[in-house]
Amino acid sequence: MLRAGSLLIGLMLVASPLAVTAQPDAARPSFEHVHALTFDAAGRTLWLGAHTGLYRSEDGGRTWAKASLPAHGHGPDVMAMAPHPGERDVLYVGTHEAGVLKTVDGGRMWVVANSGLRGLDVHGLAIDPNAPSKLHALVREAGAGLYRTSDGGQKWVRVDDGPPGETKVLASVNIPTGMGGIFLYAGTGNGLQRNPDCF
Amino acid sequence: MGGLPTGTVNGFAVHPGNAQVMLVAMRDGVFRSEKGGSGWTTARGTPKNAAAVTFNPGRPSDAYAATMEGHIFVSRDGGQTWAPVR
Repeated sequence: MLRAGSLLIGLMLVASPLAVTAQPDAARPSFEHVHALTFDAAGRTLWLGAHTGLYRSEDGGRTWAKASLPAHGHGPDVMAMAPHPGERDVLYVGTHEAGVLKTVDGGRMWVVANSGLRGLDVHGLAIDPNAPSKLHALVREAGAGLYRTSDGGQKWVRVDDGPPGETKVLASVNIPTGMGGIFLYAGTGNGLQRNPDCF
Repeated sequence: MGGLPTGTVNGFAVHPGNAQVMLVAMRDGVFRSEKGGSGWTTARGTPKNAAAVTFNPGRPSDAYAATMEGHIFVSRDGGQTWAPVR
């Protein structure tokens, strides 16, 4: 079972040999509830996060294949995603029950990146477009708050309570604040909010 | 932020080449701003019950949106008009 504080190193979770397997009804699997959608840096693979897991499409959303993540019951409920802006094989996913997972090989292998997180219910992930090793994660329930890593997910530090209301999506936006940083945007139950990222 | 309907913002995307251009996904559809989060306009053909939205960094004029149920829509003009992916 995955716990907050799990070490990044040594928890290399290797997917099955058929890491990405087609579904019988590959055109549109049963997502149940879609939470997130993003492209890789090259704009080739479209990733979709849903209640039933993580999916990828190589044809612009016409057909989907389910990606293998470290198993967690029915498979982690994928709430958020943050692709590296320059490296197409690097993707972070935030899950409802397993914290943050990271791949550096396009989804064949995943590592747990939860060290420092006090909770595993991650509802938002944002990667800094200017410094991609810097990310923010929004954790709900136990250990709730806004966390930051400056080393690509090896260590997280809680930096703020986060925006009021239920956060649905988080993004770092390359609009200068005038104070040396950029803005962090949050889609929430109370609408769209933004805050300088200099917590 | 000004001009959006009251309610939950489910999804958010920023244009890869111009951070002032943004899309949000809401129950009422996809909305677009060219002013960093103000002056929102609704899009033609916008999917209702929109859950998530993204730009294609390889072709920034293309944007994709997903509904809660998993129906995929595409825009070829940066989020101003939308059509189902078939």
